Amino acid sequence: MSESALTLGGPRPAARPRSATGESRAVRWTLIAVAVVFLALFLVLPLLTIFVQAFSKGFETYLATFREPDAVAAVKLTLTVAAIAVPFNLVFGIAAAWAIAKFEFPGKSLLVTLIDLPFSVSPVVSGLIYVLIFGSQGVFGSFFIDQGLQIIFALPGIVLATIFVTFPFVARELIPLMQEQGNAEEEAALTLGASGLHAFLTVTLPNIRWGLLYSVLLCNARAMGEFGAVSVVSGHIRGLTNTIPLHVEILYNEYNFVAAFAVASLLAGLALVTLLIKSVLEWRYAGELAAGGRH
Amino acid sequence: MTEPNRPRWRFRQPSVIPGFGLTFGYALTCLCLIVLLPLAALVWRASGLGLSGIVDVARDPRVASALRLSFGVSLAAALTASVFGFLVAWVLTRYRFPGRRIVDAAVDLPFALPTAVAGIALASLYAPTGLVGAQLARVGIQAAYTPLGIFIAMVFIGLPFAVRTVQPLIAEIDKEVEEASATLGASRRATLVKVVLPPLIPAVLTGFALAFARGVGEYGSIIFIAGNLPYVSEIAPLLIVIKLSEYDYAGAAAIATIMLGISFLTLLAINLIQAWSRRRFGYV
Amino acid sequence: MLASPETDAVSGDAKTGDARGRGPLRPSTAVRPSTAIRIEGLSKTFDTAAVLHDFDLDVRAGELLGLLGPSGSGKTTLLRIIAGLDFPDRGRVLFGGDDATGLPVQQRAVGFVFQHYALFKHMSVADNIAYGLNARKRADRPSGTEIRRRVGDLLDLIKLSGFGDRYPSQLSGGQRQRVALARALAVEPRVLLLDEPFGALDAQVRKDLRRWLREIHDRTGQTTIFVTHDQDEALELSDRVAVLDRGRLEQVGTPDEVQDSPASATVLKFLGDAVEVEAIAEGGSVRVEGHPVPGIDVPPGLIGPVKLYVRPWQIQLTEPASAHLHGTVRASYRSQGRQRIEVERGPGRPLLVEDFDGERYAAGRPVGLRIVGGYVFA
Repeated sequence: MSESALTLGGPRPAARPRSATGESRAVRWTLIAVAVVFLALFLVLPLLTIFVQAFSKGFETYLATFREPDAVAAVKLTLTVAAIAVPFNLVFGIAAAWAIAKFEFPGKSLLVTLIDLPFSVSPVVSGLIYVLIFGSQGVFGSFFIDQGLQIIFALPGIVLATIFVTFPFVARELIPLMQEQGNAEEEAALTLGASGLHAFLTVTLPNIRWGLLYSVLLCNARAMGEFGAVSVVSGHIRGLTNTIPLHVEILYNEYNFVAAFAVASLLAGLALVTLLIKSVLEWRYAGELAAGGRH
Repeated sequence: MTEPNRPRWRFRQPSVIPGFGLTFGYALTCLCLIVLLPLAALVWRASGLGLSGIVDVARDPRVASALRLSFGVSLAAALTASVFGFLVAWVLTRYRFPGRRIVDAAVDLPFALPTAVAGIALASLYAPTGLVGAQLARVGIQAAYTPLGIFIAMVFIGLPFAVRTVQPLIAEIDKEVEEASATLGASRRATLVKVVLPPLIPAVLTGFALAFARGVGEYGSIIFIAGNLPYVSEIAPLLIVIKLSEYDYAGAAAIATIMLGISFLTLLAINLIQAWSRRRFGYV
Repeated sequence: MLASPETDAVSGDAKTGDARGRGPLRPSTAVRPSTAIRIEGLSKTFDTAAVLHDFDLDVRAGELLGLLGPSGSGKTTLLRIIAGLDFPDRGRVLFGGDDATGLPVQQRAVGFVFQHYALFKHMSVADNIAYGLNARKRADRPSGTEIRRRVGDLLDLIKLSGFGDRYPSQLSGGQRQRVALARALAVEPRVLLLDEPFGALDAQVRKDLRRWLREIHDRTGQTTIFVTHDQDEALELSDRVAVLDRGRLEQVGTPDEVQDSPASATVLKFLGDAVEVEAIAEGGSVRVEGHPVPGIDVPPGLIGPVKLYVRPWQIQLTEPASAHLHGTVRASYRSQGRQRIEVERGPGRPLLVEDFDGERYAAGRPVGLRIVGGYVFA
């Protein structure tokens, strides 16, 4: 029995059967390979294309794209639109989440569904509805035009369409988050003599800060990148009502590919930064974000 | 003449927390002004045509072909996205491999990347002169400027919906249930088919419906790769834009109403799936 | 419990004793065919922490064996290794003399009942119970009518006839656990393994299920191992109890054996309240504060200062003159027909005495304590 003398405390198991709840190594790595290759082809390759094309004529050409007055105007317009639309949706989202998460009233789930509605409306339709109201043949069209107030094919229309498509972002992150957290901490603050506003600022806000940042980030990315809705209401007036995505379209349709991809790389960079911060928030503060349903 | 002990009906349950009137009023006002009134304007405009008018617009050969294309290709793309989305979700939650977190983050790329940017990138990749398009052209397949190109763009934008609806449910699968199945003598394959997959079906259907709805309405990432040939590769949202540029507001509103109707039906289907799943299994 | 001489001769060594006389008589041979499962030299390490050390245990055919231990003692790991859900680093698991260590879980024919039931939520109760039969290869699978008949029998057994079409979400916790048991029994397992089977249930349901499990076992004679951290549960249910601590087997024996002659201080303390008293061992007897304590088994050769472990009912309150120890009453209360008296022997040295007389002692009263039994360990 020289063999058993070599082992301590009993014989070794002959062969370890594979775990009861996993796939075999070969199956596992095949599935991983299929998933990774699929994602690389469908998601990563398009992303790389943007940067490769943008720099295909060298760094100087790339930079020159942004010296064009039309490009500068597009960047300025996009920043302006986001600067109005994002804070608007932030305030709306906090108000809606407060009313829905902290109180019980009939019709609550209907209200949540209605807030989510813009997500299921085609971007083109989102633009169209404002044209139908404020356009020259629209419901109020002639009224505003008589007042000398241009809404469609101007900044207000672009802002309205952007607010519409980004409308649910903050609310739908904050509602489940604040529901999970319950009312106990706010009630404690009130019993200790805090005013409602004070309780909100000192108790609620710190609890939802990461969720808030998370949702504002996604809202901003969508606001700056929205194409379909804005395209319908903007009128494509170069240097005046062209946002960055619309400018990309014009350059591309003029076969000015390098410039189109150069401007697009700006938005792609924004998307990457957004994804990076989003991922960091999800890893670090998973407990302080609403669970599930990340869009 | 109310009974003395019956509690007075009130809109909201009593609470010590302040601010309901202010926040509820503000939120409801915003919702009405930004979302509900404009959508009502659309329905009002379309109702001017009457049901027969909407049907007439839909019967127009060019519109009918665009609607067929949008819904047909979107269905196929949502199906593909669901299959691969399930695979990706499974791999990401069940297996550990180097770079898993980066892959996980990359799934959200179509959410984060502006649609126009994705559109020109896909178009240049799949054009006959592009990196992938040239390879496809060698085997006689033309992707760009055909329904195949539209399909590719729709899979791209639908994928995150398919992955993210299934992923949390795969993560929540109780390992003990799989172990129970194994101790009862079921092979790994039988365990997957009979025990693991069935509870995930509602989530897969939800992801499919979301990807489908998104594909039907999508505009930016498709128009560059589609080529937009009438009767061949012209999608319904583009037709709305074309009608608008021709100042045919009624026509645009009619197509939009049809698409909106389909979106609502899809939403309804999702809610029914989830209600059924909650009733049957006690979870969504 | 004393077995008759005949029974004693056939049931093997006296230390482990017979299974409360319930099991069938087993011939005593060298191979011991009555051993259903043998664990040999099992070791298991998770990450760096060892959970099982060189573990040996024999499980007899038809017995109801309780694995008792605090959390982290390795009892669940042992159960999972027997089932084939975890794998040992070293050692063997034998089923009826055959090495099953490398056998995949599907082929082990064990019935495993999980603490949180692990029922298939999307299947009806009947489909859950029939699952193991339906999973068999076509050649071994009973016919549809046969499966339905067996499911019906099992539903009767778990007193849930007529519940076959319900879904798990429509059942109470106790009902779910019974379905889980029926599902495990349906495949006619070689051994039934239960992991903290009553851990997730209310106290009352738990008591009922315990009695019911005992009944089922008596009726089926199914070899059963269950894991628990609850002493009462283990002592009430088991034919034999295996006490585990930090991955080692401390003692295995009938409930009477482990209570009457605990093998170690760990076993003793885990099975109930005990007071530690400093004592001196000499010449086979024990003295506390100079006074001898009667009725203590002293391990041979044990001499010098030792710890005497005393159960609350092994202390009597007496006149200070004839006492081993002295103290003052701190509190006194009734619990389940007994008077429980907390006595303080000095600052921070409380002591619990149980008295059946029911006399109430006022706080602050000086009392003498007389020790009438206890345990010392080498």
